[in-house]
Amino acid sequence: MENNFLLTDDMLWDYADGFLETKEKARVDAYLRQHPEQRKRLDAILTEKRAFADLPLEKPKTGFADRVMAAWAAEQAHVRATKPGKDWIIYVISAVFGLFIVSAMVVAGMQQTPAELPIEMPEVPTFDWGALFGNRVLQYGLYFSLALLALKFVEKYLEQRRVVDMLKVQG
Amino acid sequence: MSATLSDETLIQQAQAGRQSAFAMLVKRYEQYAFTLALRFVKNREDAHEVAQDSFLRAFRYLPDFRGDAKFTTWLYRIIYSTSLNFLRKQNPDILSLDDEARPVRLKDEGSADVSMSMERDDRNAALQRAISLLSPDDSGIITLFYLYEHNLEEICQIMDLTMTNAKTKLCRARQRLKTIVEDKFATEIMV
Repeated sequence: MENNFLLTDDMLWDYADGFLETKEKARVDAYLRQHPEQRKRLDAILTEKRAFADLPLEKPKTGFADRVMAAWAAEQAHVRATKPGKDWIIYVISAVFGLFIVSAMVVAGMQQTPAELPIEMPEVPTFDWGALFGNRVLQYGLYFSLALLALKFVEKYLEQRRVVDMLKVQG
Repeated sequence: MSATLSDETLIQQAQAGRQSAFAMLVKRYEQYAFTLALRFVKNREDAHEVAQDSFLRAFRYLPDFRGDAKFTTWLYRIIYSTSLNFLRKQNPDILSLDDEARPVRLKDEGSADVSMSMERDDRNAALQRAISLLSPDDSGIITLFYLYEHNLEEICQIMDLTMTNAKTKLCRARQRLKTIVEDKFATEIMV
């Protein structure tokens, strides 16, 4: 064993914490075998480490987890209420149908021209609107999209009410 | 039965949207999160706020958690940055939690939340008190290494340190703690 080997407290702590390289660890092991009275220093360090490890954890106030979950639920509700999501599909379909209806009404109105006009009007292409509006598929499609649109508005309103009520409760 | 679910399983369930998985993660780590937050911000009320904000941030970014590190490493990293942001809001001059020019002090150094009935409790309370008198970085690194038994690599990820810095910080924190214990709590701790 080297005569000038000095076992410092820092080295012992590094040994206890597992920071020493293999060669350095071997040197400390050899030194402790040669000087068993020095083991008391290592034992004191190990006792200190155990004291740290045995410290109790601090406890938060009762209901901490519930408050976290309530805050998370409120945040999720707010995100759902403000997120556009896939509702745009419904809006686009409803807008297309609405445009379709308005166009049909405009064209139908243009077809009802007076018998005599001071100027010659171009011929408006005629179309059998009765057959078109009589089509059951289109009728039901229109009713369905209007119903979906109405339900979406109701859902959004209820969601907003829920978020507002939750925020009122949290105060 | 739910107590035996691993963190990985709970995280997968939480990522799939199960609220009960979120709740179980909070219950499992609330004391660890609160203790670490308290070490950083030095005040119980602030620690509640920091711990709650940290859990909310963790849940917000849970879809991005890929499991490269342990969940606790990731959570404690969030607590560390949330604590730093919290303290900077109160004192914009703070550069880090180890800023000796602008130390973070206990808001009420006179009080101590301790149980004094038994000798072991006295020692624990004194040691807790001594740790609370350290800087946030010092008390944080001692808590993470000795109490939470994280290795240095994990601590480097949590506190954004290099291995050399982490070792040096740990060594200095121990020395500073020893000084505090010898000055103020020698009779209670008797280590």
